Amino acid sequence: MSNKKNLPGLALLAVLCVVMVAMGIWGFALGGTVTLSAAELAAPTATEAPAEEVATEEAVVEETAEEAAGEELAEAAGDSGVSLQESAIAEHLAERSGLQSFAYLKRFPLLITGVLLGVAFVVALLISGNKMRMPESLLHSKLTYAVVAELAILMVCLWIRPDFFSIRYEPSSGMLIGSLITILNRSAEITIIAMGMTLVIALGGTDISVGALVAVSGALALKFLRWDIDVYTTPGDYTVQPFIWVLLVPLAVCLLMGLFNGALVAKLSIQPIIATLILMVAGRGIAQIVTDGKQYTTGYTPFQFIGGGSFLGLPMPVVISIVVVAAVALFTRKTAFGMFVESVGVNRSASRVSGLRSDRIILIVYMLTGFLAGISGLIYSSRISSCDSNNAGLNYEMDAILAVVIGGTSMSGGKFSIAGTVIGSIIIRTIVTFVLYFGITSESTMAFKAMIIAVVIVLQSEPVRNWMSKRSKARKSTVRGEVHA
Amino acid sequence: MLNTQPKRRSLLSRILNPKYIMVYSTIAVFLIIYIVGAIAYGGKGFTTLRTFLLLFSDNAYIGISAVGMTMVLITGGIDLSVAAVASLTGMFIAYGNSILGIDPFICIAFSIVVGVGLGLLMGATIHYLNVPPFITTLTGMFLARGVCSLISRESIAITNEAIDALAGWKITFYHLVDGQWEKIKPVATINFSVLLFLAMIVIGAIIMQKTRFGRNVYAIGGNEQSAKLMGLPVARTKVLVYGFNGLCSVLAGVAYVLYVKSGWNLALQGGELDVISATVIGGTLLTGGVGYMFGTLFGVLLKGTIPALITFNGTLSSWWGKIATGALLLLFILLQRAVVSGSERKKKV
Repeated sequence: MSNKKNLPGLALLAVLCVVMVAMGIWGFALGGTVTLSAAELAAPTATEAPAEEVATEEAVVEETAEEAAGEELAEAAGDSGVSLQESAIAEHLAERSGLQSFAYLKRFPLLITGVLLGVAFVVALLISGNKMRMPESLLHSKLTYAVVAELAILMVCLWIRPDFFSIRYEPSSGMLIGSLITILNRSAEITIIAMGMTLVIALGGTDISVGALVAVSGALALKFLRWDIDVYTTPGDYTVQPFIWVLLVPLAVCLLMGLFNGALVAKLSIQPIIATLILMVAGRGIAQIVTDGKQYTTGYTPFQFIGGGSFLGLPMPVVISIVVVAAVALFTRKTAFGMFVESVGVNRSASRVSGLRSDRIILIVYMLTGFLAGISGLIYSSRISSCDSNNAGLNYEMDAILAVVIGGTSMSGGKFSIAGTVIGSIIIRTIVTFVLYFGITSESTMAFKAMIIAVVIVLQSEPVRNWMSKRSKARKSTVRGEVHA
Repeated sequence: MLNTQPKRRSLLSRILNPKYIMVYSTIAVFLIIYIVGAIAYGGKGFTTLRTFLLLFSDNAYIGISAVGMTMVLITGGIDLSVAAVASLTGMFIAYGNSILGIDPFICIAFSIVVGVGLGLLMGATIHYLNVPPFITTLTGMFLARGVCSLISRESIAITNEAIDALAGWKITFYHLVDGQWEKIKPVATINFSVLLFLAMIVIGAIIMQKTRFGRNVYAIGGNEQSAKLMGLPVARTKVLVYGFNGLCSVLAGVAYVLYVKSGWNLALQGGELDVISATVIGGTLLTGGVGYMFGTLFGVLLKGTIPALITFNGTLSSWWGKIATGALLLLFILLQRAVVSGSERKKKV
């Protein structure tokens, strides 16, 4: 079996995974002792991140952890003094000093594991250059690059914030709290849209109207919640229309808009980008007209539950996205539908000749994408308890397409990977979190997003992957003494 | 081509060539909408030369960018980074001049280097690495927007004499009263941006119709594989087209700066859609191979007429403009579809 040669590479990857999991568990164990507030976890101050970075470096070089902790204590005293009220300062400082005295204890094992992991990476690279090599299929798989990229970003996050993997249970809200949960939570909208987008791209198309559909869905939901906006301006815990309409109408309208896109693409054979451009341009106008250009707000608890509630400790958006991913995965992989989609994506007329109803498949996929954009819109508007026709779902189509492409689905259609898309969506959110940790404003995250995505895309691009696998193939043939024509 | 086909065809038959049908339908729809506007709001001054020239000056930046976009679309690609690059140009000029005190023209030169460089880089990525244009230029857009926000998150005003002079420079038309120019109330004005817009349209048309490079662009859009087999320089042409589009984006940014006299990191958000819709309304096919600069000119004017009509109406919400643009897009896409399927049928026969 030729796989024997690949065993070392596989083993290395396995070790890597085990180490990652161990670190995760370690982080969970830390969860009890770390007393940083959720707000601090979510949005660290600009001064804090570099200070910690410096301290970490010093700990490596000089191995004098006490010094580093002492320095950080001073730093903490400095920046908390600015930000907090007089009475709160003392309490906060006491909390922080208690935390900081243990800081080196927590940092050290993680640091060592991190260094070991880095060494393992370098060793893996060196070894694969000489005797062992990574399994070729893994090298050729786009998913591998996506996973490695995600792990690398997570490692840097961990380096900046040793408590990055900590997750704790908050009994008052019944929710798990931690950076990882936040990433999952905030990526839910994109993940849900990207599920539909995966199928659209597998068909060889793109749907750039989803962002506008998110705005339409939110606007309609709030319209049905607050039909009385002209009479009562203050939001209360009530809904004007039956709650079921609030959920059903936006979803139905988005489904119809998806049908419109699908009809243009399937029945009239219009290029998908341009067909969906129509609704992308007009959608926000429609949303704006639905709400009369106003920003409706609501205080209706069942509606707020969609974006802010929790189920089994997980935030609702995460639960919904898990359900959606599972449903799409089952629908495409347990029925023949996924194969039909891939077949139409590879060659539409050939599929039609071999008896597939290409038009119907395209229609279903675009309708599904519209529907999922509607769900995403409900989550978004529920999160902000309001509708925002200008900014709701802004650039979502771009993020969703990027998630799909990073996940390894080719823009030219054909094979698609649901797992890849989920990872892609999480990568995008992790980048945003990561950049926030550096204290950089959210608008400029785009530049970093672009750089990281550029690296991933170049690594994934066909010529580069071919070159990589050719290299490993050539090496294999020289080892075995085979001659390739 | 010119040598093998002597001038047999008359001027009329050349003008009525069926390949221009999309351009003519754009012009026809523009005329219809303009006449409707003239009938409805003629009393409010919709028909004046001033209003007509405002269509040019208000949409100059969209038009300049649309020249490059037309070329990119004809190769079968797409460029989503145009608005972000234009916005970046604004930031460079505003930050360089107002904060660092650099001469604005050096800033413009620097922007051109950056814009063309980014365009060439994206073109190379698209061609050599086989990354879809949509994804590549999307990354370029994120990059340019991100750099905008890194430079400044505040709007920076530009107070420079040279920029003021350039923005204020205009050709003015006056009434002729008793054989003398009545210089109190100008009829209309043409400013620098409008001239730049028209110049770019002419330059674009010459490149596309009269040069080897232009014919290569059409050939690549028609069928890249065939173009390659014919021995045309596909790689060079494609990369240069994206570079030229970068140049157009920067010039559009300059026109926008002259229009608003400030740099803002979120300026022109969604502007790439305006440019693409104007180009598509102007008769350029997104599948590549078909499109004319003259059509793009009317596409920009047609798209600019809608907000003008809404302004003249006064009661309609400006959001109807978006819906109207969407409807126009739908109309032209359906029209294009009909034309394409008609010509396909003809080919089969």
